[in-house]
Amino acid sequence: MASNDSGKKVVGDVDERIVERLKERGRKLSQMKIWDKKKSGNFFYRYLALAVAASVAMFMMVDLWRSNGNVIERLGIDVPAVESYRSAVPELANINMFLNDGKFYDAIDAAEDILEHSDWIIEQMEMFLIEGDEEMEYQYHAEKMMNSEIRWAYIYALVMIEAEKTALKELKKYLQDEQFCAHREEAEAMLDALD
Amino acid sequence: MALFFLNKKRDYTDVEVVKGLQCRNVVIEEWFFEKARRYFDSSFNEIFFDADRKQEVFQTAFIKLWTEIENKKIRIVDDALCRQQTDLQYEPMRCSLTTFLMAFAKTEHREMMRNVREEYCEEVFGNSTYSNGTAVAEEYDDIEELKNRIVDECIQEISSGCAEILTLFYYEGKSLDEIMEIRKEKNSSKNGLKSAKNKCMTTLKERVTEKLRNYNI
Repeated sequence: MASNDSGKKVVGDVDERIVERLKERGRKLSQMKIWDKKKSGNFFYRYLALAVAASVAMFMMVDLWRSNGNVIERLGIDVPAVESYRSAVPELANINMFLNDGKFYDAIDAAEDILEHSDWIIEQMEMFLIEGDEEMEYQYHAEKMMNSEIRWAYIYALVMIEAEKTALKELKKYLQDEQFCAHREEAEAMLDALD
Repeated sequence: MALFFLNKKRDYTDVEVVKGLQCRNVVIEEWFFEKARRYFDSSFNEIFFDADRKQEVFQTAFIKLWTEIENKKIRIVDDALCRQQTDLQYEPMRCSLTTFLMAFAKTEHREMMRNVREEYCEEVFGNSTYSNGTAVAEEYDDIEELKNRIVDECIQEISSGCAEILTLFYYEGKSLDEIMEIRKEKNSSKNGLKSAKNKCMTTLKERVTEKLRNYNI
């Protein structure tokens, strides 16, 4: 096969030209097959990348969801234990039991009942507190201590069920009376983590 | 990751495609193939029940268009897309390359279904072949290109079975045994395949010779 002046192939006889053009047709067919394969390969990798991205997003969402529940774990806060001397009161003993068993909704119900009553008592005491009445002062002091202890247990249970808004509100309330805050540092850390 | 999804190829005009295909620009070739495939899939999807048949129609139509462009039957004249007519003059095309592809595909499909070539698009097919007996070769400045075009047209006119056998034998260099294996039940015996291959080649050669003679080449 020779070339002419313009550099194009000069094909001698018909047979040779036919074979030449058949080869050219074959080349085109092969090229089309390659493009088809490449296209389906691209689709595969795009779907693979999409699946990976979706998985990563899902893990991130799960992680975000879990992160609040892990605030307590991250801060290393122990399960609150209502003082043993108060455990003679069945409702308080129940809160301890519910928290230890991981029954946070039950613990919340029990804590809400006690706190509602306790808040009312404290309110009344503050209204009628007589200065110098040692017994009354002791009872007020004891009620405030118990109230603070139960609220801390309540906050713990709220955080564990991801009830952030209520937990924040209760944390702020808890931190109002510094002298009764047995877990002040932990509460402040928790406030920062949730806020 | 975002870059991966935003990695969009640039688009080319029909004029750029024709220029690119004529100088064998592989990027444009691939881009045009993908565009043609998408257009074909969206326009033709519903009429095919057989994926193999659909693939065959697309391949045949695309190769025909690709070959017409490479052989400069379609070319750019004064920055306009033109197609050569019977009198060898280039006339501006009134439709896009993808419309031409669809017209080729429709004819191929009809031919496949009815085994009869129908003319339905005057622009695409009415003036597409050179009239026999015309001594156009004297007016044609690139005889090699014209000869190639004639052979290509004859190859496109032979049956798909013949085209497959000849391509496998001459392009892929497959032996008769290998072709038997690929074509499975389409050929009953090796001798049958051998005679089919010879008959296809003889028929093709006769057609090419006759056409060349008509052009006084």
